Amino acid sequence: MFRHLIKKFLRLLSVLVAVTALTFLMMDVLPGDVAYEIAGADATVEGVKALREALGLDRHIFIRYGDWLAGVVQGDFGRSLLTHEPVANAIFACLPVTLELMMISQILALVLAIPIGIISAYRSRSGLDRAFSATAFAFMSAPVFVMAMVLIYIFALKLRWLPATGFAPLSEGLLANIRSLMLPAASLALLEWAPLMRVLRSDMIATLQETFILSAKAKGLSARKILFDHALKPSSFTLITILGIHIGHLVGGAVIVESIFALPGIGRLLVGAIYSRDLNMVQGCILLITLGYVVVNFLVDALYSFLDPRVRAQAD
Amino acid sequence: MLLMVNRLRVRIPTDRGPVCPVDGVSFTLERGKTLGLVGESGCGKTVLCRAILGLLPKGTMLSKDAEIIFDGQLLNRLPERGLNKIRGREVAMIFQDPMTALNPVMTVGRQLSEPLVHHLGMTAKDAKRKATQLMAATGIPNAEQRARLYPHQLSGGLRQRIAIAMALACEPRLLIADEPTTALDATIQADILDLLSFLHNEKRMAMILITHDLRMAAARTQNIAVMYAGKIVETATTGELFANMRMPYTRALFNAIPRIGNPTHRVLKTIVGQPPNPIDPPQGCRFSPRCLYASLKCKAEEPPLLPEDPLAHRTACWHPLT
Repeated sequence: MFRHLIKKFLRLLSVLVAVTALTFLMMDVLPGDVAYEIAGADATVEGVKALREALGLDRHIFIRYGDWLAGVVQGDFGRSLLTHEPVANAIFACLPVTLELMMISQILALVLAIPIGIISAYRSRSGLDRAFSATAFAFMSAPVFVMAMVLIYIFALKLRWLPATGFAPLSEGLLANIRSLMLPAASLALLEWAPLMRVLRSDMIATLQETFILSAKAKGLSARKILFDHALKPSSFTLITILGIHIGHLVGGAVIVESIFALPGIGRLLVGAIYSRDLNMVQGCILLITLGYVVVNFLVDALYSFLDPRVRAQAD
Repeated sequence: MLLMVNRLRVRIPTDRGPVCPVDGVSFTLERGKTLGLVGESGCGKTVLCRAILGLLPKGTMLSKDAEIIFDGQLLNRLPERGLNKIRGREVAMIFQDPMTALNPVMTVGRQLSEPLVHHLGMTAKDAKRKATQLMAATGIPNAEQRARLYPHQLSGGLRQRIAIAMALACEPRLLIADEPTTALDATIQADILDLLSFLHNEKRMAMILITHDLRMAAARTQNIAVMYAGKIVETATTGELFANMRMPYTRALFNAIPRIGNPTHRVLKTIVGQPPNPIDPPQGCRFSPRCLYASLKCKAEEPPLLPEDPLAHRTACWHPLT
């Protein structure tokens, strides 16, 4: 078990190094750099050159990456090249917004996916199942910004139930806070639920063919008990795998959604940093996102053994 | 009479046309008695038993005039909700393979308490205690610790004991045991059957024991019904049947059992040919293509199960032996 954890940890480290090195490289290949941004439109060539030297941007990429990495190892993520604010501070200010957004959107997606998946499996090939499937495909093929626009139009402009843009921090009250995140979270959830529902449905259909379901029926249990107590757990492997993989997807979605709804989250921070070529900020965001992705998938692995005791037996 | 099954025909639609794995079966079972249902695999034994509890797959149809009467209640007209009061409470079932019949991701203790909570309204705590007692009663040592285990952590024999404990949890009046020992080691088979006989006597419940092994049915049943291709072809009390086998199929099934007294390397008298194709069963007597005594009449006309008296020795054969 201990060796297992060490192996996992080493893999996590190599992923982090690889991803940050690649983003470093890509930022370097992109035309333009932060010096132009700082110096402004009427800067002279000499002025920009002096700025680059002052910021250390004229050094070789390996040295700069090594420099950054050495800082990170010591817990120093550097400062924004543009505002000189410490990267860690900026990230910690934005992180709660994104985390909350993701959490609410995942909960919404599961609240849709699990009951609909179960009903579709239980009544598979019925009219209801077909209707749900068709709806799922429609939602799967809609891009997130279209979804966001449609939701804004309906719930903010027409019905006036929810604010169209902006973020209310927790200090303005829980209700206001959740209301401000409802539409962005729903835009993400409406994309997410469909594939989750589809995999749950097909796994569930397979589980319902098992003899132990028949023996549960022979005990006289109600359909609801059989579906939730006996069939759901062994049917949710693919569901949680997809959930883990989708975290990456979700970050991409958050970048767009945060921009549309003007939420001060990591996504918007990252986009801003990329536009201004604020290398340190970009690296900080990417590091955090990668870490989150790996940690979530580590948790998914752990969940397998929670769901199925036979996996536990193999790991020991 | 505890159970009466009349004119039961089960139709299952398939891609190649409908099949009738059970084709016009009638039998009765008295309170506290054991009926052995014997036949080759695929003869309809399992479908027949699942039909009693309404556990057949979606799309399956029973014949319109079929009656499954349990203790005065017409089960095949009962809605799902009503059936759920009978299943596990009045009529319980044991399946062939205890590995697949237990939920792999639920502790056996929890699976065992389920019917207690569901049917008897016990609290979770009482049900847990009772479950441990039930496990101990089926001869599982260290029941309390074992209750916390998952099925894959137990041996086949122990799993089948759990399945038996689960079926008997609410003290049903009828137990349907579908080849309860086929998936087990030979050494454990006798133990499990002894346990079933013991509990059957102690709880005075009726039992339908499904098996393909006539010998096994001989020692542990009061009545035997022999099935072939979806029909009952011979039925009698166990003693009468073994003393006086009339149907050539029963005789052939009996002869196919290896005997310890036989000289070594003796060729087993297996039954020639294959069981009929259920989509297109043969005309006349369904056993006639494989029967040594078949005449033209056998191939043309289906023999009825006679005499009518359900308690008599009944045979569906034009040329009964002896």
